[in-house]
Amino acid sequence: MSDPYEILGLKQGASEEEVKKAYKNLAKKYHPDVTGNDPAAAKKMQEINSAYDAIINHKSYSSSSSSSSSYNYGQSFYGGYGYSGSREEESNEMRAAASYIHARHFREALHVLSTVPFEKRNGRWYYLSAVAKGYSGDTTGAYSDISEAIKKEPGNMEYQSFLDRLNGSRNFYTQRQSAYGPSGSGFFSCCLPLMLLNMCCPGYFCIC
Amino acid sequence: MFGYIVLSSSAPKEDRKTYREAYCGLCHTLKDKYGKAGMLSLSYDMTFLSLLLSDIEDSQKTEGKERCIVHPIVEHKFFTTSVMDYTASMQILLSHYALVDYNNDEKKEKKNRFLPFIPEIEKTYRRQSDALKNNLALIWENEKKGLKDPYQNSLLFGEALGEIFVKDENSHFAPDLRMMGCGMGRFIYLLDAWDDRKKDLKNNRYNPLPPDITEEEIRTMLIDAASCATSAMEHMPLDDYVPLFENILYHGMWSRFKVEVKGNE
Repeated sequence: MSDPYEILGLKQGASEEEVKKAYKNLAKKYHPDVTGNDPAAAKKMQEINSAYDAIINHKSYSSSSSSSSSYNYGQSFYGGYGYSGSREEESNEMRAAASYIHARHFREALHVLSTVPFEKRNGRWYYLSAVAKGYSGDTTGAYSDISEAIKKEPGNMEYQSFLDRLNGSRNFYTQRQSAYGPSGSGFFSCCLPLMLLNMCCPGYFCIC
Repeated sequence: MFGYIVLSSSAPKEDRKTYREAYCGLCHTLKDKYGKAGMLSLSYDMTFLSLLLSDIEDSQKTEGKERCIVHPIVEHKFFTTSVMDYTASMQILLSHYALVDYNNDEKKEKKNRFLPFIPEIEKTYRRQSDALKNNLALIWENEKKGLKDPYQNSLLFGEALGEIFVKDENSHFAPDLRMMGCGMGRFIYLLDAWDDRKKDLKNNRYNPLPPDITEEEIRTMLIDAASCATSAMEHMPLDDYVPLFENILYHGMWSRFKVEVKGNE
């Protein structure tokens, strides 16, 4: 693949903000509403999407110095899926699950994984399941599955690194949260008392 | 379940103004689409989703000023965006089920003014409606069985909210929106259960949390859910309202997390 920064019209090492802005500008330009389902434009849009993912995933995966803020985006578990290609010896289900994950179809991956009988669920099964669960929003399930995968194959770096990213994401969150001061210190609302009433009796009028 | 997705009191004035104007904009859209009944359903949760989707899609803002039923004296600013047509429908859907849930819980028969709009919404947004309907049915079943499984129940609620966050299945960011909605849904469900646990105990009502759950345990679960949402958010190309979203996700959402006062029986 050619240089993802170039595809977005940026210089190497552009900031995350610049990447996001450039992406949005291009996405507008090549949107089907504008281009009228032109296949060349659709292909271009795919390229732009891949370039965006390559940069952002890489940033959240490994950068620890690029950002000027004191927060380290390297602590988000969002990043490379550790997709190591399909393996010859693997069952069709496992290969299908890996491809679904690669294409970011996480629910489909979970579905096909669920068809694998319990006694055939090896370390890699738990790893794929953990990744699919994590990226579909079930990080608790991801945590327990990746722990199981590591139990089955203790030395596997790929599994360990996914667990590290999950832990990192939580740590990053608490670290970042502490900058806001103590929680539970009240919230802003234009009509607090009535909103509370609204919560006890849904459908009540909110007069703000 | 409503009322958790709020800005914290420490949020800058500018962000509060944006959130309020979007809130009034959603109200305006609800009134246009669904009349007075629509306005009754308004919540901050769908205001949040409106801003999130507007940011991703870079949708055009339309600003306005009005006096309305709820602010008859003071004219106030508001803005609408093209995604509010969608979020207004989702708001009606959520409010409908919140009311059904309330009537079930309280054994009441409060009139459901959203009901007439539901068939049309279900037809237009099948995926979202089915997810919400099916998952809530599973949660209610677990409630009836008295099952104390906060993980399962919060995940069911999270998955339903995740579908609602996905306005367009073909968007490149659909998986991120689903993940973010799921994390926030899990958070809301868990915090709501924690919030209600004493009241539920007193009234001998179902609560999904085990009675001996500690503050530390629930905090860990909440952090897991919230950090799932922020991880997904970081992947999306947001640039209009990032500080506002961050205030809500890192701080505002926790506003109603009541910390126990120790040594005070």
